[in-house]
Amino acid sequence: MLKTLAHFFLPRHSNNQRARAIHSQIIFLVVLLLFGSSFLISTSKKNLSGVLGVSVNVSTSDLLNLTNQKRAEAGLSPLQLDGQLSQAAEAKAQNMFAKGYWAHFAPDGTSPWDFIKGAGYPYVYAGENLARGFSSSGDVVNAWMASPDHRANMLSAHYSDVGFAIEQGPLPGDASTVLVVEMFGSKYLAAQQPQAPPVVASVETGNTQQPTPTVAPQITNAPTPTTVPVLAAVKKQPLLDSAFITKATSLFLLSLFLLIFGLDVVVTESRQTVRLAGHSFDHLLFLLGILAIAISIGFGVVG
Amino acid sequence: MKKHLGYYISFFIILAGGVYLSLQGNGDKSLTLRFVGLFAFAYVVWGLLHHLVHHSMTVRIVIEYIVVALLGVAVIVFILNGGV
Repeated sequence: MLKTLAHFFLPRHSNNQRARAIHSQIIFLVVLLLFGSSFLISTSKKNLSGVLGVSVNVSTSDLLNLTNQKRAEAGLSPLQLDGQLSQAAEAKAQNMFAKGYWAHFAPDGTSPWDFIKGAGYPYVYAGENLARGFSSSGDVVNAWMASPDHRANMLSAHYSDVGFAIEQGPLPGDASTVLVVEMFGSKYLAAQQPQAPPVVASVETGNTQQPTPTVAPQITNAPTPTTVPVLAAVKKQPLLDSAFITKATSLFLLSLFLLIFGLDVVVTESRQTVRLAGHSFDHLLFLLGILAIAISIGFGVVG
Repeated sequence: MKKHLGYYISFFIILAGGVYLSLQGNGDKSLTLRFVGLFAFAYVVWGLLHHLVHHSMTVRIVIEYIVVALLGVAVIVFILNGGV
């Protein structure tokens, strides 16, 4: 038993002075297994999503509560969930899926406030935060708070309302991702203020211009139609969490190979073994780089 | 080790660049994969040049570097496939 283990993990006479586990044939077998498993996981995620998939729990109620919690900590008033802003966010999300882009401005130049105006929300200030690929509401809000521009939007005293869209669909570079659109706004009070032309609202930065009153204000007292906010959510709790399984397996495999290559370097150096093979030290460094990528790789990004 | 110093300095540049670029593609799986692929390719070229200059290149060594590079790519593909 010990001999078998030594044969597999340590350089010795029986394995031609190189641990069997790091012979090219074995590594190639592992590569084939990884590619095969990747294919199986992709197929299972599509066809057996209840069994194998990614645990996702992103909801409007959680996003709203967490956003307002951050605002309360900063001494700001809470945002009200607004149906029209939620409608605008929903339209923006659908537009991104339909036109295949991930940006504040559509390829045809459509701006975030075009969607807000389209939903009938008469804004004075407006802003937009985007997020994709996160699996929980907390991760989304934390990522926005960690980005100065998004944080400025979340903690802006100019906003009184907020709307969310949470959708799953294809975006460039990803066949299926969870997309979150957060639209901020504050309405002008038609009965109290002269009507102002729309202002250039912020995208991420929260830098807004003061509205310029028109020379001949047209005051309208017509009530703004109210829209009941839809509490959107993407929640999935498959039996097996593929994100956890793949990451844990990968980290284990990488650590194992790093250990074996490390042992190989130490043993061959101490024995001054002469052999015609690739440098284990090179492989060790390369796999350390891959380990760093594997550990740091995250799925969420804000925009 | 001294005679390899230049090679390892160049390798650390490849390593740092590869890791940095791969993390820039965060959120965009295909971009991340392209950068990891580029890193792996640069590693194979660097490793083979290293052996070529020291007159120790054989077919087995070529295969070894390619297989280790493929292992790196396969691990990242595996993780990306499991994610959101």
